[in-house]
Amino acid sequence: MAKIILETIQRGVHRYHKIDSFPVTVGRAFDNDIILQDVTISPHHLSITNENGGYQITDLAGENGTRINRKKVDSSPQEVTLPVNFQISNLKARLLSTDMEVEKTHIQDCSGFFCIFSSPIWAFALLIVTIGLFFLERYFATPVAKEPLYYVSNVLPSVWIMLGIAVVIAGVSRLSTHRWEIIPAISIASLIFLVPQLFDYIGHFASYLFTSDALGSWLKNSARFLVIPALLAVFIVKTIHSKWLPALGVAVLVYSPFLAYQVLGLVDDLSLTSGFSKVPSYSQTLLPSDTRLNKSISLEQFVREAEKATTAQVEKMLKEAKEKEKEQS
Amino acid sequence: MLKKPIFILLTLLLLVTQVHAEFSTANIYTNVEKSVYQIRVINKQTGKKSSIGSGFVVNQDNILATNYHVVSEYVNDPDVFQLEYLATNGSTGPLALIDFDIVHDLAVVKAKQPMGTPLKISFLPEKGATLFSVGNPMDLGFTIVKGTNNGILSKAEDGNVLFSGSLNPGMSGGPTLDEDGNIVGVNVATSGNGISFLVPAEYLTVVLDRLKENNYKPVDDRFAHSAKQIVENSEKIVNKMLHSKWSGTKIGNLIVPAELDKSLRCWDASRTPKKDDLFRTYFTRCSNEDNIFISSRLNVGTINYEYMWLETDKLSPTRFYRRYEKVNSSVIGSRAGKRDVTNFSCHTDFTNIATQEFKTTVCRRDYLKYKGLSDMLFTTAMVGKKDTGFLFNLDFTGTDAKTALALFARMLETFKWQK
Repeated sequence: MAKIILETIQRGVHRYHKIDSFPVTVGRAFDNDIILQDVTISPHHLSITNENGGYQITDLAGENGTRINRKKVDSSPQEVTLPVNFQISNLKARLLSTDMEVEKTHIQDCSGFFCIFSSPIWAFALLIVTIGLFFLERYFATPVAKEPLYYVSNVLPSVWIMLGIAVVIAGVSRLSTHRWEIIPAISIASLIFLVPQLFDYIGHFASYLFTSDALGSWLKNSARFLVIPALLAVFIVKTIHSKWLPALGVAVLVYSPFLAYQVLGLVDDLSLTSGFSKVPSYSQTLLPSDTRLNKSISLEQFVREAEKATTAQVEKMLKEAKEKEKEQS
Repeated sequence: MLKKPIFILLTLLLLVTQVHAEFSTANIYTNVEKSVYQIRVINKQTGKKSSIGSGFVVNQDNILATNYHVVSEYVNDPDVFQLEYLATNGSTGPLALIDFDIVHDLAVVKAKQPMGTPLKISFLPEKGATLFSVGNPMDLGFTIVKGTNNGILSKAEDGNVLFSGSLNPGMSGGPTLDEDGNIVGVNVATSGNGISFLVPAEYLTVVLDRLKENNYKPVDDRFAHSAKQIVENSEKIVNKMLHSKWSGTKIGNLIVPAELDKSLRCWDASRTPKKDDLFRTYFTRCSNEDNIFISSRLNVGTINYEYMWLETDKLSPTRFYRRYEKVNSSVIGSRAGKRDVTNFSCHTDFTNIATQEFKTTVCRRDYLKYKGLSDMLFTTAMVGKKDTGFLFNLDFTGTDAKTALALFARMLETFKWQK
């Protein structure tokens, strides 16, 4: 029966060495009890002893050294309490006791909302819905009669891009987990296209409902920044079974080049709205259903309100411009 | 043998008139030569001219008249530029701006010393009369151009004279004289092919009389002076429209005002229908010909409006509204930039007009230097009908906000729904 376990993490691979008898030597040379193949590790790197009911780590070579909590261990035995994280040269290592509690199993059978990532039916449904939406969008935006092939040629590039993203996600998961995970990859790739489009629809509807573009642009921005990292994080958690926080970190990291691009777009938008614009910005949305909160008012009332509102705002802008000019001179 | 004497008589007559005309042109030129100058705007830094025009002595021997647009650079940036004259004999000297009429494109400048005999102002002769324009085209030297008076333009609000003669750049601000050598107009613009325009001399008389009363005291706040003139002119024009009887036109199911008065012209700009069209649009666009030059970057005084009717019996509401929404976007055709105007401030709401419901917007921006001067943009889109749409856009540059708003409201009030 093993008393303790030495866990080493080398290139992302966890190895567990059972230790039954003491003292144990660890190093690159073949006469060690535990052999670690890494050129930064000394031939006889360290020894683990079990004396007086405790465990001790001793550095033997003094070359690249051993660190416990970033503190270097010298040639005198260092007392440790289990479990302990330490570093053998650049290698991460842990000493664990065999009776340590283990984490709960991640059951692969899905439950609730996240099933859509693992069920093939859901994945293909999402794919079909997204491609259907591509067609519908094209169709809505074309107010003249066109041949069906026109729509196919218009939609195909987007479909290829979507499938390309699915293949990249599946490939990355193959590299990291040795599984292709093609079903969740298709779901995520579909959602990457579907969700921003839905946000767009909701934003458009809200713009007309409230006679103001504020909510719409807020939704557009959140779709730009949040949707894709969130979906990637979900993918990582659900397929690689990682924890939420690290998954989110990885998702943001992966998305960061695109994020930089989006930030550039946002800065452009902001400078347009905060700076000078020749183009008047007003609520231009029109909805066939005419769903809105504002009731129609009489022309006189409108003229009165419009005059009051625009005059006040313009006067404020003139005042600001004057103050700015004063500051400059 | 009757034919021969007539022929001779005819040639003789022809010869006589030609000789008379040549004599007259040459005579007029010699008479006015010493009263006509080239007016130059000089960049103080480089000492080189940045724009040129012509001018002439009037009223008093040290007072010259020219076009506002000739001296506009100096008016807008007096720290950067200065004014100078060049005489026919090659002498030069400084000039000072004392007054201008920005609406009619006139300016009056003053020299330090006597500049020659003041030319007399006279009434415009009858249509068809011969006129002579003097100026310095393209900096090539002083020239005289003969042409015909074709009367005051009735359609344009600025009331300029149509002169059938070739004016060229550089002649702006020069005098146009009748056969007696009296000023009847000031050269102002050309659209090529012998179509040229003159400012009637009576507008110059107004400025000169005002100056005489003030003892030729220069205006102090040039921007306020300009703004006041432009706003007053715009108010006059818009009020005239408000009080004239409008002709109506039917577009779709709506009867809307067409020409508000004779200064506005309307054109049809509908898309020619094609057999396989899924929707139809009808489009009418109206605009005035007025344009007040403030600087080479800035013109104001435009009034434009347009009506667009869209209908379909083949498109689904979603498809139709995509199209409808796309055309629901109005902008103002002006080159005014950050240094000239504020941002637009807009107010949008739903209104009842002609028993229908409309999404209506009013946008306003003001000029930073010209107090009380605004650009106004109005737009309204019919809502609540799944297969029909209607847009009305109206915009003004350089106007009084309240007056423009009144015209917009009045136009909407006259909308009528007719099945």
